[in-house]
Amino acid sequence: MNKAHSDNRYLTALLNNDQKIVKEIYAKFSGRIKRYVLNNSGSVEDASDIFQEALVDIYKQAKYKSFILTCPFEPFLLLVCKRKWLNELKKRSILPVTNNEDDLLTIGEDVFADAELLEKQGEEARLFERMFEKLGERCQEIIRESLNSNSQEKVAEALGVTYGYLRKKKSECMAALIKLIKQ
Amino acid sequence: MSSFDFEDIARFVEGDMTEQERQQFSAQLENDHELAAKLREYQHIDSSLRMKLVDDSRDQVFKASLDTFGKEYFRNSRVIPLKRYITWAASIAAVFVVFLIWSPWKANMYEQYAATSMPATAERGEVSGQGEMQEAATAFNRKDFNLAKSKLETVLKSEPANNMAKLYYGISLIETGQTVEARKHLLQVFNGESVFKYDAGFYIALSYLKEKKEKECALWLKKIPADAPNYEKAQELFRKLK
Repeated sequence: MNKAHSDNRYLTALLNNDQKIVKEIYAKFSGRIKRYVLNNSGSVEDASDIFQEALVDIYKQAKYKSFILTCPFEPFLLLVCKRKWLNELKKRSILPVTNNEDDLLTIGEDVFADAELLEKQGEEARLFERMFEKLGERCQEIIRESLNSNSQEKVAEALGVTYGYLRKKKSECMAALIKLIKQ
Repeated sequence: MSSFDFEDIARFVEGDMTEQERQQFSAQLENDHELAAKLREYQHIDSSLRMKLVDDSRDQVFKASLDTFGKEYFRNSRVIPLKRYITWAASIAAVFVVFLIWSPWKANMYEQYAATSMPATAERGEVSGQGEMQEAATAFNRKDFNLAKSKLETVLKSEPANNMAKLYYGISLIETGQTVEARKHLLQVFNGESVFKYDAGFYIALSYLKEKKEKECALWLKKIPADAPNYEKAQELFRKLK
């Protein structure tokens, strides 16, 4: 496993919802993202959305996929936001205005690698979610409720089944999901 | 060849195997690379799915704080084309003079500062409790504070420690005139250590403002420290009170 960069402290702060450092992230980095989006056919609201989405993505991957930062945070966040915005422009069928390769030349390999891993894991999760939505309603319900509750006894009670049945069904449903994914 | 399938792996990961099964599984895992790979695959899918499907209270609190900072750092700099700006500036200036004489804000400073929206917590009401929270947010944002109150009451019954629910319950109480009752709940949030601590403090101040007790209001505004997200807002109101 790669070694964490000292800027991984920002990810730790996101995970702990450390108000002081989360505020620092906004204070230090929001300006550049705002300028970039405004110069590229976007609004302040777009910039705000992209910035928040990027932070939520990073938070979720740090939380559930043990994602760690092996590069400096600022260029990483900037790159993640830029790619998100370019995707959004593509969706809206707008051609990007500025030459996006210019300032990317100064970005190190390590930054690209981290951003790519984040993107790849994000895409995989979206694919798994689409497959999940193909499962039967009951299976979806069982998996969703089981993942969202600390007490499986309560889930069984809420779904009106026995604890043993819930556990058995959950394993069956997960196996069915994996089969769908591997097809 | 592995004799365990994905259902077995699920039962192993979830701790649902019998002790004998678990021992067999662990023993085979040591030499069976195929089984080890399948196990990694299972864990990868499971954790990716959690990223999409889990939205626990910590996630909600985190997103709520991003909302707050987002408003603070992205709101203040709307870019308006210059020409249009000048035309508008002249008419706004004229209206402003009229307002200065009329001074309506003195009457409804409370409304000016109390306005807030409750963040929506989930895309769909998939988890018990979250549905109520979602409905509460919708009602709150429609300014149907009576409905918001009753929805939040239900949430708080099952999750008495949900500070977000408590904060918005408090605000709804202020909005419906129950300022004393509101302060009881807001004080609990303020005395805790959640991210809603200083929002609660701010609304306690506003509850006094609504009662026209400006002295108490100022006292509470002073309790909001410089590194709180709503410090500027509190200071602004404090200056206006004087």
